[in-house]
Amino acid sequence: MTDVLVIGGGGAGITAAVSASKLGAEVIIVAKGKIGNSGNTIMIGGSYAMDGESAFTEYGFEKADRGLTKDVLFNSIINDGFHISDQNLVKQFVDESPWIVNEVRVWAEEAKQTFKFGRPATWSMSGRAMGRALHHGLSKSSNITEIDDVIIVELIKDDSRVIGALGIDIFTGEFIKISSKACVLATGGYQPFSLKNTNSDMTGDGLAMAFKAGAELADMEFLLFLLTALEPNEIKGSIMPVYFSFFGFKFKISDRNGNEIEIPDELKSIKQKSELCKLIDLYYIGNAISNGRGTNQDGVFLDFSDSTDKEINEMFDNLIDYYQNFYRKGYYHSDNVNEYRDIVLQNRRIEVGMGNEYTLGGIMIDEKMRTSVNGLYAAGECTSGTFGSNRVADAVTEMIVQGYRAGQTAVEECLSFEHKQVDTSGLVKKYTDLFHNENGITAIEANLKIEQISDKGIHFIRNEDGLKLAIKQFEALEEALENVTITSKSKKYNMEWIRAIQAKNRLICAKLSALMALERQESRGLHLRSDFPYVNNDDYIIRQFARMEKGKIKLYTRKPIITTYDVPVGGNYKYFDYILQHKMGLENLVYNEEG
Amino acid sequence: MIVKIQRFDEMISDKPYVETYNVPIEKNNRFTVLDLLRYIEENIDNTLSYYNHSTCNHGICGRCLLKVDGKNVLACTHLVQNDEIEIFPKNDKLIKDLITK
Repeated sequence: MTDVLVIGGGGAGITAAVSASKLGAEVIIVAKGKIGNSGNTIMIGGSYAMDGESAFTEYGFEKADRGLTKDVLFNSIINDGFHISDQNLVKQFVDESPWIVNEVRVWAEEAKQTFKFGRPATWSMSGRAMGRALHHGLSKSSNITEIDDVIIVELIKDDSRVIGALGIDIFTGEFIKISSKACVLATGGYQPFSLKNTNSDMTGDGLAMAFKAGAELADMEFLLFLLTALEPNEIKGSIMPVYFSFFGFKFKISDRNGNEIEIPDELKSIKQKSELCKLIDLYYIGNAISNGRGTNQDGVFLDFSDSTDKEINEMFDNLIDYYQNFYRKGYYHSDNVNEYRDIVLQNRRIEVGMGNEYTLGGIMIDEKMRTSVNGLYAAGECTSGTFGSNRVADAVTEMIVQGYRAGQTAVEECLSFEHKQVDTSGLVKKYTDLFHNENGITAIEANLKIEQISDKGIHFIRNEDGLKLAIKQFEALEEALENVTITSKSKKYNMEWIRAIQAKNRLICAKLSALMALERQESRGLHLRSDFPYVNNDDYIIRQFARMEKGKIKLYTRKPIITTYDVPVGGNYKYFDYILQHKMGLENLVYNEEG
Repeated sequence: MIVKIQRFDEMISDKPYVETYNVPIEKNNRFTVLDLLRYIEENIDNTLSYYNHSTCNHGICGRCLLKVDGKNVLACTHLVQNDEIEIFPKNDKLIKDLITK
């Protein structure tokens, strides 16, 4: 029993717990893994930021770039997100981030973790350092109970509000019921594809639970991909190759036959200086792969055939020098950079894929982190609406600025409620009954199927036929999952059981992604359609939403919330004409070591 | 490749036992111990339990520690180097198979 229940052990969950505790609430924070050492927070190989003006004037960082004001950051997030951000959310992000970014930076200092300053006002760190800094902040707070290794499977509701949650202890298999006055979801995104650069368990549990409890999910058609290692096998999934562009590596990108995948020069220069690199890669590499030019693993090659040994060695030496700020020498996390270099030196090319890093879609929130369900709040990657159809600002900032606000609102609005008990034996039975299923699909098969369907149907470049097929296949799989069969009958550390539950959550997210991608008959941000290649502002400056109504999915749209920045007009822009004409790709959002 | 894994399931027996799997994988595939365990789980025996929830797969979280050929290693970064390999839990506080407290 607690005042505020926080679900999720990464940056959004921890900051929510800390802010709720500061306002005097009792807090339980529960995570599927280990709090501060799980989820996508520890996968960070990146940075977070505040606006340069605040860093300079309010926090005394004299080298901060004052030109990156709050207004510039606000406009850039909306413009680079193709104008479907809810602007009240962007304003919350920009206005409230300086304080919490600095606070977490102080936690890092106290916990002796390296956060390295760069211009405009950015701090780079490893995921482990971020996890340790956050956990330090958590352990300084009072009245917070930590529960590790419990997967929350259901939100418990009475007639009007969320009054708690039900979970399973992964190690013991026992059910845990937590009664709460307010609940904050901070469970991260979902990852339906086969190539992972995320934590292994990004299965959209929070999105699916919220959806089943009546909350709205939005913007599910937008998924962010980035260059991801495919070889050597032991570092498959690493995002180390993303750094090559920012560190001035010279290479071409070539297809399975060694032919260059050409990117126009004006876009190449944007690519080296801004976060739009991910979108440009998605467009050109995604198109090449969709047109059959990819390798057997849907990969392409970073091609160093024009470089000498000396040049290659210099590029990697620079990178190793930089990584040494955060990792032991010669490594990125535990990925051996020298072995990577050896393959490049020997073969003059190395295979990479496009891995799904982040999901723009998620639970609809307002600027106080309220969902549309009473007593339920959400923060971080599991939400939607801040970054529109393309994220350029930091997800690391998003999780803490939303997390801190969610904890505050939860306390402000819910402390006066009484705890309520409801009978959950029916819910428990729903999960234990899974052990009685026979001769059905296994959880492993179900998850592989989700990946196969997603890899084909909702991958980089979509079209009507592919999306319709994917939706049909997802629906068939939904039916098959009703009889998902678990071989081992022990409840202790039974990953077949946990995976079966996760597969159902993951499938809800993947299917909504396909449904919304089908409805959006244009290309915008990270949603690219071969049959609708134009940006159509006249018809599609809208956000798409889904909610459950009488057991059925209802889709609807509304215009994004506009506060100060007017939306562009005009249909049928060629995709990159739109990007160039609207001066997208703010240069100084990317970490710059000088300064 | 011969893979010997200590199993434990208190619903079957109160004592652990060693199960031998014959896995059709060449050691030069640069498989990690975690890849090997996933291969067995996906293709041979889906009742095998090993640390496999919320995993980073890149030596970051340090939670997949196992005893491989007598040495403590992280399953996600340790490359399989021989044609025969023994995989045991890191201590004897057994919960299920390779999972310990």
